[in-house]
Amino acid sequence: MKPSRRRVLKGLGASLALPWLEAFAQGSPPRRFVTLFSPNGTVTADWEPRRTGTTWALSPILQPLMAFESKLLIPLAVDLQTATTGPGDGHQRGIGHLWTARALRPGSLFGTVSWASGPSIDQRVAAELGGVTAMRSLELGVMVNEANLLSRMIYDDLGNPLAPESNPRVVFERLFGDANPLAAQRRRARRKSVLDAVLGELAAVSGQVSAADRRVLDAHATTVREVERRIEAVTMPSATCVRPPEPMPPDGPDAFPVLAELQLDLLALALACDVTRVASLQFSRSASPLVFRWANVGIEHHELSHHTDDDPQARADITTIHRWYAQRVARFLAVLEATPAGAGTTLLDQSVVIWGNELGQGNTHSHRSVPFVVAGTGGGSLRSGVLETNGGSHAELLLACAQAAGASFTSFGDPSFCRGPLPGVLR
Amino acid sequence: MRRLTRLEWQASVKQTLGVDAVLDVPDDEGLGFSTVAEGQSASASLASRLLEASEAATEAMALDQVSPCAIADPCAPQFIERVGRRLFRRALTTDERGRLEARYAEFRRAEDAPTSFRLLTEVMLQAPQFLFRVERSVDGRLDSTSLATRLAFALTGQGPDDALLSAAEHEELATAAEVRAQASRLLETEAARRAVGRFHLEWWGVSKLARQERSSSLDGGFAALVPSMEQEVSSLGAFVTLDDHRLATLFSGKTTFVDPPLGALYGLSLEGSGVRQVSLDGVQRLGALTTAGVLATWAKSTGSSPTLRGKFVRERLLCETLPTPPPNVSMTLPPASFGTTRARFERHVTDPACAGCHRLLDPIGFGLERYDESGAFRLLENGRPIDAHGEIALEDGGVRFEGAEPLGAWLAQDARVRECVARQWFRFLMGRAETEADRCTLAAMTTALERTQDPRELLLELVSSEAFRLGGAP
Repeated sequence: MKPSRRRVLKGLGASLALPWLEAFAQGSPPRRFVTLFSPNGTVTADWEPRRTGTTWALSPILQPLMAFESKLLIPLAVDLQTATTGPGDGHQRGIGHLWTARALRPGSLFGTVSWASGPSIDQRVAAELGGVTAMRSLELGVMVNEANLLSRMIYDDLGNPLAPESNPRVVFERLFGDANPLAAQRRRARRKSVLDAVLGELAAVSGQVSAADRRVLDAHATTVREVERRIEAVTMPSATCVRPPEPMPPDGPDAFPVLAELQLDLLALALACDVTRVASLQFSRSASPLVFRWANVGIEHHELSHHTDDDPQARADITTIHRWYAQRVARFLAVLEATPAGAGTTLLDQSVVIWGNELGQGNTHSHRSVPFVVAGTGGGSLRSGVLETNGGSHAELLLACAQAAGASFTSFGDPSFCRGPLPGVLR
Repeated sequence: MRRLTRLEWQASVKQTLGVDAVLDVPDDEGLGFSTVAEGQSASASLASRLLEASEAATEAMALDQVSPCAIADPCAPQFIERVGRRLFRRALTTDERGRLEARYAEFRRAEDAPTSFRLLTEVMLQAPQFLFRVERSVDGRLDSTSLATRLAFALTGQGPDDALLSAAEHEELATAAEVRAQASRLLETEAARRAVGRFHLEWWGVSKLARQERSSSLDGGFAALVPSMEQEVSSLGAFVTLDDHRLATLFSGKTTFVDPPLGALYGLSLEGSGVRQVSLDGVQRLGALTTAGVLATWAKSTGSSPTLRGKFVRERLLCETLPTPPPNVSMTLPPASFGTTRARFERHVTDPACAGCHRLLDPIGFGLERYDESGAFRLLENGRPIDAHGEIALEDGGVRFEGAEPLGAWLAQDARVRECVARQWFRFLMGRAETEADRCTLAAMTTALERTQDPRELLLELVSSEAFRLGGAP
């Protein structure tokens, strides 16, 4: 796959100092933390790298990531151990535990279960790293469409789900705003004073209601403040941060590949522009019903993922789908690799990118041997290569990745499944 | 505390400012409904779209129609009082008037008067008094304007109209009879028709059909027919509840509402364009169960799904809670390329690891196998005849049937279904799951339905109940 930097970062803007360059002048460049999700488990046999003596070869699914082999860490046999606890079916526990590593809340909202019970790893990282950028974190989706347990993976400290933004035009607007600086400035001023008044009303009403209602209003007020903060922040163009043409996202079921490309490019740009240092991107949702016609697969993904191992066509189709996702990930990594981050390093060198899935082997809805890939070197803090864990806890993997990105917390998720960072991840 | 749903926000903006606003953010779901407070989550995505939608709405509004006083500084207090009362669904407090007047003065320093009026309206559209349903109690009893709001959203999916608000302000919502009279009046409105239709769309799951795809080939494509399918379920629900007054019609009636393209899918050749009431006599359809919208909702994109359809009947029509599949069970089926769906799904019922649950689900769906994933009728699948024998396994034995007709007839007469209908309405209108404390209210609703068979009576029973009128935040 060709690096697409030229496409994304077309043209050269005025060369302005970026916040991270200033940071670099004062010490080490800032790190970035990204979680990526693709659904429905995998075909483990086609995903796991193959061992020959002491060397490993990338599998059919992971082969598109070959170009970044020296900056990949592939932990084998990592389990969602926490998913042995708490309510929910296989998909619900899978996506609800994936980044939170905690039991779901029991309830009746979605059958026998409610939302997740604690923050996702990116939000813990954002609490430490996100304070200095325009956006504390950025949540993106590609055709997520719905708003329920299976379509939410990011949660705040209170276990409130954070909705991903699936429309590239809206993301573009948030990153770059109005092209006309005068109009943009005027609109910013108006929006700021409107939101200031809205926050005033929220505070006034909040003082007159029950504690339970106050929590609801306060959660909403937090999101309004987040919007206010985004309005105040102006993205400064530079050599690596150039306002792209406004995206024209297509519609319809076959728009997925184009939307995926647009969202990943905008995600890379948000990191390059230092608009945020913590981001996530969710392809579709758990139990995704997408039909990958563009990859010549005619049956919906979730249905396919139920087929037996001895159905060769189904296995080939599922492998095609996951390889397609691996190609998108490779393309994203290529953009990060093509973006300089100072002192001869690239954005990929300063990043920790974790690509995960809510299941291991798809047709058993297993939470064991979940296909995680860690990319980037986290400013030199991450090891590379294949890591044989023999049943490692994903809570420990996530903790190690967070620490690689510079977070200082020492436990994550349900403490019974987290004794510390997973051995072998950090240098 | 409940937040207005996307549609409630849009309808209330239309009702109060006369403009078509678009809030482009999917509604959260809980218990299958958009109105359930616990499912509603805060998000920056929502907050920023509210900001944008409020801007668009106030840009589009005709200021001189919203406020008869001139658009000039001396009219600001009157504008705040008038627009504020409509948007906040009650008279403003002294504090609120003071705060908004101060904001107006602040806007006015940088903007002209019309712009300042618009910005003020933007603030009100995003204020918690409009966006949320903040309820007040006096001496442990819901105050009358809060009750008016509760009643209006329950029955019309938008805020109270002037007549209801005035009644509340004159303490004319104090008795069950007064509430019942207002409710009966509201149920005559177009807004009630839309709200009752919306309940049916969400209850039968069809509100999720938009943006989905189905592979079987339809003239003009599946996506183009989805609006007609949604319209049918919504219209049929409103008809049964507000015109026909017989719940059984929803399950086994031979009347429905289609436009010519959807009629063609049913084998009805209709002239012209537009939706009309039609008879299903001589066609393989009855009630909501065999509407294309419902059949397509409970299917996969590439084929029908007896499991999903069975699950739908159990969860949505019988209100059962199904167990989750056990961990690490191989959930596999033979390939789909030949034979019938039924033959593939038989494995669920023959494999003991699956049969425990699937024998409760799939045999119901088998009875609907003559309808494919787009809702089209078929007698053959991959060249083989379809066996539409089905069974609903129940604790007291079970019911065997063949095809949709006897299934619809059974649903139309079973007491479990009526009890479930009451529960679904309760969840949608109260915005929460029922608890032990609601037993009496639910029993009264079910009794009203048993007595009259009229779903409208069930609604009137709920909104005139003490639980609804007096308090207990929903």
